[in-house]
Amino acid sequence: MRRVAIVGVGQLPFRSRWPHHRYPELAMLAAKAALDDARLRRQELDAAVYSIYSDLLLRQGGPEAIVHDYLGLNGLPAQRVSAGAASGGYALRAAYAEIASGLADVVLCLGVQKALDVDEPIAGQRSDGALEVESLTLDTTWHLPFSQQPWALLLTAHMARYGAPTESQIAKVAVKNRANAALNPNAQLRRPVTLDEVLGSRLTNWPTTMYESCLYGESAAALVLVAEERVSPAQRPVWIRGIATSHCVSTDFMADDDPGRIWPLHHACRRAYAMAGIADPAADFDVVELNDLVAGLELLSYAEIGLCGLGEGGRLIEDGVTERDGPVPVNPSGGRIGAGHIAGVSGVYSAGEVALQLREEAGERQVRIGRGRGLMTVVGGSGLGLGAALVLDREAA
Amino acid sequence: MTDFLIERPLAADGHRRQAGDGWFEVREEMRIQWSSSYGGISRFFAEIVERSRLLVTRCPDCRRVYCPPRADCPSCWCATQWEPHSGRGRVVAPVYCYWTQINSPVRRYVQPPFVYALVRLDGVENCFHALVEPADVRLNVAVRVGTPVSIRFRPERRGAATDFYFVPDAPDGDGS
Repeated sequence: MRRVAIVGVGQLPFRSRWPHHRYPELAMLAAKAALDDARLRRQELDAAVYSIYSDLLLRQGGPEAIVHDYLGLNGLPAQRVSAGAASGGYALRAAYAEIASGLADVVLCLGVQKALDVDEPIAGQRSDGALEVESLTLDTTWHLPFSQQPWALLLTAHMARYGAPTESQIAKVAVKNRANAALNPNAQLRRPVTLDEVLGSRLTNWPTTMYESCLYGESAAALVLVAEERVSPAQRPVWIRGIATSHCVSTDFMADDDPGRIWPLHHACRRAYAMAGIADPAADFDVVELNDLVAGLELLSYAEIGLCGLGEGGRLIEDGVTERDGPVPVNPSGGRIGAGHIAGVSGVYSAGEVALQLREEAGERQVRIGRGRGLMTVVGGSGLGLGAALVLDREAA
Repeated sequence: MTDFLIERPLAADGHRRQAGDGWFEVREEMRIQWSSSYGGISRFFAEIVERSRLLVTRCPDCRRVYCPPRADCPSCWCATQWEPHSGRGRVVAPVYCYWTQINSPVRRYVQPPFVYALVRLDGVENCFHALVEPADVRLNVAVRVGTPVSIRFRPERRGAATDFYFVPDAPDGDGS
């Protein structure tokens, strides 16, 4: 297989709504930014992969055809990937495969999603309508009526088994990510919060409070991937050393004494690490971006990505290991809790964040780069059953 | 990176802006009705609706039991067979829910705070996502990991997973 590098990063801010731009227009803004960053012209693209989560939120079936046409890319091969909140990771794997296989040399990987055009006149809040549509991603026969939050089941099982993380440790994740978001110009929320504010905010489902829950908004993000033959040093390439996805439902087959495993994250990381030759994740990464759909999920994820053992995630945040100035900074962008979230965009955005960090172009939120390696993971889907992991490196080999 | 964006100030109300503010919106509504067949697991719902009776599926080859039922065993791909079940099980993971969106289907039956859980029926491989309705909904009191529960059927049943729920067994285990 050929080596593949990310050479272009284009990110729009996460906002609660982008009423001045339709989704193809958001796609155009992100695509332009990524191609400008890559110092490439759109005529040099060979293919496109679109990470678009929901047709219903857009009120448009097959939206990728409309985006592709709007970008003036008619004639080029394109495909759309949809995998819940993990969509971006799956799209990146598809884009990587286009190039590694030799089918294409230059690929645009673009995530775009609007969500708050959906309205809910009774509640008077668009978010209620958006969540109703999003719920269709759950198993509509067996999960939908009850559990909007598959991660909540994993979290309570984990806490019952280990007595950890504690509510205070979970709240510290929100404090960390909101503090990081304050330094990110693309973040939807840029006001830091205190531990007391997080613990005192409305309880949504124990132990998760409102400030520990991901944001919900709209955005677009794009990356340009190229084959090694097309890389120039001026592009500040960041190399894809490992990439993997895993479908594995986390909830339905939980054992009676289950510690609340996030199986797709575990499997995707192990595959990506094998591909990249990562032996010690706790020592190998300068930066990690992961899907903090709720704060507790970030702490459970620490074990799944190999930063600690099961039940030890709370200790890591307690010890400051994952703070921006800690040994393994996690979610320097602010993550889903601080920077923002919409399925389809989040994974592409966070892969861009890791690339910018490794290039040392992350501005005020720049972390210290030593080994030159970073990790991006996403999870989502029904029963929290979809996961992806991406290992990026400043060196090609 | 974002200097190419054309910034226009948002109104304090955030939306419902009209022409002249740089954008215009239209209200659309989509009504879709389904009459979905339950296919190979139809009998599960028919028995609940008509007889308040719980059935599970067993693989004749590997002997694994599934409920939610499966017409085909995911382990060995054999067609499964129906058998009755007592409706007793245990909580694998509970969630105490204090907020859900206004149009959540669960609000037909309960309002926050309510408890839902993963429930494994005795001897079964997989778990239900189901409401657990204890008399006492105080946090982590009546429903915890391992709490024994029994199924209850609602008086009105239409053929959906909301036709039944679970209640914690009384300490003497009579399920009442």
